[in-house]
Amino acid sequence: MNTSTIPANRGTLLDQAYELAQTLERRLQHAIRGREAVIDLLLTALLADGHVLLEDYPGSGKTTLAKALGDSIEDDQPHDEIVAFRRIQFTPDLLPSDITGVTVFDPDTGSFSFRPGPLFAHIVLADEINRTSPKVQAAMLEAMAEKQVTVDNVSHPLDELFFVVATQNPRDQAGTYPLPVAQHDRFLFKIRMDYIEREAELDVLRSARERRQAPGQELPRVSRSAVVLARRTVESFVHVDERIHTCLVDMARSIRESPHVTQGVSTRSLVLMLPALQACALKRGRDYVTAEDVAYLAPFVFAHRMELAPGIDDASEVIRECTRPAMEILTRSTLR
Amino acid sequence: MEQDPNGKEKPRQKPPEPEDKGEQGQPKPVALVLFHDDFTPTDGFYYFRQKTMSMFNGARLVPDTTGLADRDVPSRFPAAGPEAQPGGVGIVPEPTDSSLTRTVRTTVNLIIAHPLPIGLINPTRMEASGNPDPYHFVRAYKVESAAFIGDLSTLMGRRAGNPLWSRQVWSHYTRTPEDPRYRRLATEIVGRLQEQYREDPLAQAVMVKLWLETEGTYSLSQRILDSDDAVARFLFGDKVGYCVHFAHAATHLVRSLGIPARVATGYAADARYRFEGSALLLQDANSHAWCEIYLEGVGWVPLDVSPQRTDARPPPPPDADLQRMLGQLARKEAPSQEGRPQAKRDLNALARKALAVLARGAGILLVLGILAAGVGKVVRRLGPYVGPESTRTLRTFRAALDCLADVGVLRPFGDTRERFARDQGNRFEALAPLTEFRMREALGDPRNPSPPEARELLEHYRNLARQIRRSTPFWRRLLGLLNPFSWLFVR
Repeated sequence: MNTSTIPANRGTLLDQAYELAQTLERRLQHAIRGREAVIDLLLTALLADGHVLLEDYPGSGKTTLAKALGDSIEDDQPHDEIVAFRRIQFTPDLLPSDITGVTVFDPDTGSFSFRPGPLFAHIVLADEINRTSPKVQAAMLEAMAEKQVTVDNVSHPLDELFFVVATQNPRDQAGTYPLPVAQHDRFLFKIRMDYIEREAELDVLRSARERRQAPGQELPRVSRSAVVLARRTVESFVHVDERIHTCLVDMARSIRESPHVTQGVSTRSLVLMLPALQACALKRGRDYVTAEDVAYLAPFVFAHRMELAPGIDDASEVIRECTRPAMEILTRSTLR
Repeated sequence: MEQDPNGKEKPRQKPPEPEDKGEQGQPKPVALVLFHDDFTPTDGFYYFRQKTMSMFNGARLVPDTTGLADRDVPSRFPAAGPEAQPGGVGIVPEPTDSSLTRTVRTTVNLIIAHPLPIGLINPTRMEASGNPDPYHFVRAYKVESAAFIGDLSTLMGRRAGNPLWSRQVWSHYTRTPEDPRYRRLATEIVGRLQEQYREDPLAQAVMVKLWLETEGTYSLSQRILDSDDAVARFLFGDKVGYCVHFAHAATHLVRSLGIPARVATGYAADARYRFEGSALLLQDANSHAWCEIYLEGVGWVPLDVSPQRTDARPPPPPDADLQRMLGQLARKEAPSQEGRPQAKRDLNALARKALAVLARGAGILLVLGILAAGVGKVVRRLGPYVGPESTRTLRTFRAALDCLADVGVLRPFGDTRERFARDQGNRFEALAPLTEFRMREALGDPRNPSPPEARELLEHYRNLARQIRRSTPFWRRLLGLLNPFSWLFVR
């Protein structure tokens, strides 16, 4: 048993983190209608320090979503060169330096200085990431993994908050560079955004004018440092029981052994899943992870990391089938 | 065979003679009698009575139809249960002087079917008994008899008949043919007695017997009592006849002297053929008819005529080995001989026994299982109220799930607890907080326990019970309550 002491302000920190998630959720839900599930996952990823790949159709609200997220986070360090939100439209002719930044000669000082690219932002929308060359994709993915960019052998750290929302269009694949599975592994979630419900769509139309005129400005914002603190709080104080670990490992092994799966999930995915589970628990007002969180997040975390056998196309169903025994063991263990 | 059966007679000192089957063929066993008391009659013969003929219908002696007489003779086989009482088989024992009789217990195992039970005279009680070996015996029953001990001479001086009898019974037992020759002959026979014995009933009867034994000739060639005057033709003719003739003649003669008498039929067997064992095999060759007289305080006493002249040989003794083997079977001892049917029966018996043991074991296990499950159910249901503080949440949550299982609400395989609580939220709102309490306890940070208050837990638990009552029909709840296994399905 972990005998380390608990800070006295643990409760306060958890309350603050929960409140922060609620604030963000309210703002995002005001900005974009009928996307509660996506907003939930997006904020979970934000608190878990993961990145999100959205698979959607044009006009589904992804830019609005990412921009609203950027707007919701107040830059409490206005004098640095890092802005709240950047959108990068990926094209085939894009170069790595176009996103990382470039070293330029300043005739006034007679020296080279680094001009940061659009990655230097709190929230980055990487639009249609599969349309750019693998070279740019690699630079992007390195930035996501390392939270730094290297230009002319000089490493420039990105913001600690750095959160990427990448998108790709599941149709219209001509002339694209589909991300390999290994690069999918860098994203915490891959979220498919289907068309929203009829009522939600009506609501979008009704509220369009109002939202254009007053895009949620009256709603409170959160500060960048508060988000960073919330991340640390989630990681430190939301409890993950040993039984959850066991369940995750059993699930992964079961998926790997499934005849419907040719490549199973990685150990890294399990490691990445832990903060996601903690964030998910926090968003539900808990300071401990339960089987419910595992069942909820497993498809979003595992589906894009697996390669399915020919003829199988529903990864979620495969995951549900494979994870059921481990989930059952975990659930039953709570009666002892 | 019943009415005037191939009675066997016992000439002279009563070795029974072969009867109709006579010389050809072996005698066939008819019954095996087990003696539970060592008893050897003084006259050397066991008499097993089956029926009696005491009613003179004007022409001949026939079994009583009035219901007033011969009530000491059983009218049917004993049955198990209450009918096993003496009245149950129609026995009304005659009052006897206990100093003259002793109780002898026997078990009769019939080998061939009989219309009426046979019993050692004089039976006082018959009781059904389990057939020890249905393969060899058709029926078995226990008999208690008041057997006469001592010598006939000790009965000298006793009065004939029972003073308690009504006139009707007296006349029933003393009625004789109207032929005056009987009375004349009897008087003449009795006249030979010494003066002091001339009025003694027993002395008179014995005199008649001796006279018949001297004057008569036993012959199996005369075995028909075909006409009403057959006895008169025998007695006042050549006096050649078999046991039925002699029994009837003796009965008529002593009756004409005013002594109650009747003819009994059954089996008579030489006591020596018991071979000192406790089993006695009766054969068809032992069937016999004899005269019985009634003496006060003793009851019916056989007055068996054994003519000195005979043209028949006595019946052979029973096969000692057969008698011993049947005796063992009747005592349910395992006889060593005869492989085939015995081995088969042993195997069957073993199989039956094994099945019985298995069935009993299964039954006991079932009962124990039900009891254990019931106890488990009660213990778990008491969980919210009894037990250590540290596990109260778990116990309450478990009891809540048990209550739901009682009415058939179970978490589907693979569902999480929260989802189950959510799915049941409409009917059982109180399940959600109980689930949350338990999840926090089970999966929460052990360094930061925040157990709910007992009062709060109990309130939710009682709410759940109320919600179950409200949303479930009574019969379903009752069914669940009575099912001791319902909690085993909780997962």
